[in-house]
Amino acid sequence: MAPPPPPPELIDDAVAEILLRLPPDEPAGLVRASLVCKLWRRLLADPAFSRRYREFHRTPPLLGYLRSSGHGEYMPCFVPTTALPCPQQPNFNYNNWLLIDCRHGRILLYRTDKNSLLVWDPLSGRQWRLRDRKFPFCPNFNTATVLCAADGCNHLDCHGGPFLVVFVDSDDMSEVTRAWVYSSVDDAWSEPASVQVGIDSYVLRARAALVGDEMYFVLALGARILKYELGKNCLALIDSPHVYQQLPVLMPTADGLLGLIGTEGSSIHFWSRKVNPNGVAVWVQTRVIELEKLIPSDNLCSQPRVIGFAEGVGVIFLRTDVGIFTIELKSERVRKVSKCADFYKALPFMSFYTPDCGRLLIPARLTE
Amino acid sequence: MASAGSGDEKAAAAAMITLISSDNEKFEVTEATATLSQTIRHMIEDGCTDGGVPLPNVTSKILARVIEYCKKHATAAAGEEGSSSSFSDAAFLEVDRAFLEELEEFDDAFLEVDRATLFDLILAANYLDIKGLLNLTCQKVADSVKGKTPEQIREMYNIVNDLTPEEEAEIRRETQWAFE
Repeated sequence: MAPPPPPPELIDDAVAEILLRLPPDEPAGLVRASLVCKLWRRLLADPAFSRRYREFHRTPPLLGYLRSSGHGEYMPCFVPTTALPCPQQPNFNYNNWLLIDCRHGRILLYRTDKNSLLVWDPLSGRQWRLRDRKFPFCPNFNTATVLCAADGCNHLDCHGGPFLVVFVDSDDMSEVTRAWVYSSVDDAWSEPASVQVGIDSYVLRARAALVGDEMYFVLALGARILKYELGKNCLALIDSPHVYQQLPVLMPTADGLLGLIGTEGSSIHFWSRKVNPNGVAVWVQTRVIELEKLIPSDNLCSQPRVIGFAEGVGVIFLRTDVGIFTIELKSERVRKVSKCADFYKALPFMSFYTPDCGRLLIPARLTE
Repeated sequence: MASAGSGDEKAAAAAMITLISSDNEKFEVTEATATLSQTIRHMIEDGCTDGGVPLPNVTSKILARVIEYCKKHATAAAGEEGSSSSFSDAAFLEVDRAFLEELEEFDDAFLEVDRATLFDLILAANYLDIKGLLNLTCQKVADSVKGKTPEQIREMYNIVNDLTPEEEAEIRRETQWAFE
């Protein structure tokens, strides 16, 4: 009968197990814990612990949102929704850039006058100016999305890795919508895919939803949605479940399907595109949230509106006359995150922020 | 043992293991209960449990609590396995939910212990490699330090501050934002 093996560094292991379970959406808690004693400090400052911490929690937390602070979506700025160290200004003139997308820890900016794109990682401070294309995009109706392109990446910490940018534009003369893909590995743009969208329909500058290797974009008038399949480099149109007066928000659902959030009056409608037993994809309404039950009615303007969605953590951003609220879909917990409501698009910034991270390089609004 | 046949499997399920605490108290438990511990599972697989399993890092007081946890969770696991074939989907879900609720209540009541015991349970769960118990107890501590200052955390868990005043001042300067 052999006795069990002696426990290796038992105390350290047990403390690490506790620290692993500190909530990632409160980076300040990790910092305060690192002041308890040398052991806690050593564990929390160790990059190996940070890696374990990210893998344990699996979903990067919401640190805040990006919005524009100027006319026409210029002057991007960051509004934290949790305590963070005071961000530093990035070393380029960001005021002339349009805020287009934010995903996988990267921000995508577009300069209409020069027709150029910039990807910016506020945690590492790195920037990538995308190679200009030989012929210009349609300047009026376009949007784009950035995504991590690393093979098998779990998107817990993909800073500095390869990325793709998918740029979509609509030509109002030919009624054609096209999509190009930029690969940071090749530093080159692909040949475009195109689809005929018909008169009066064009792509809007709303955040795309990434579902598997498919991207979905909001089209004007709201009856149809543009679908781009990355693997096949192919564009197609699908029907929308309902035409909402307010711009809907497209998002990936928790079970990996395409979802749509529409606001009607003071109700928020959630739709999911499911495959029925006959193998046909159909829209199914999965949930309705009555805002009056969650937010005092004198805080709701005549037209409250969902202006953003943080996938993974399941948080929506709601704009009302008195400010911006976040609603956690699982708990229906409501928080007012800003008194300021002079914008119509909130892009979620989700990233782990462990004590070994540096400062965010991002123009920030700390008091709203 | 239990190489083939349902009779042998039943015998294996009912097989008893003796656990011996640091203060030499003996506890008889079923193999199903004992194997919630990965450490003991490996010992059983290696065939080195005859004559009892000495656990020199676990006192009888803590071992009794650990066994209480493992018994409950082993029963729940066996109940879930058994119910899956004999109920319709809806009935299965109903039973499943009842099990989960009962288990949650048990876990909540189980955590009603003083901080020293909680820490001992963490050490035992870590040593015996019982994932559910480790998760439960560590989450309880993590929840309890939420929103607390370093001083409050030290006081709660009797942790000696071995940072030098200079180190502490420097960290505080760099991390002022976390205290505002």
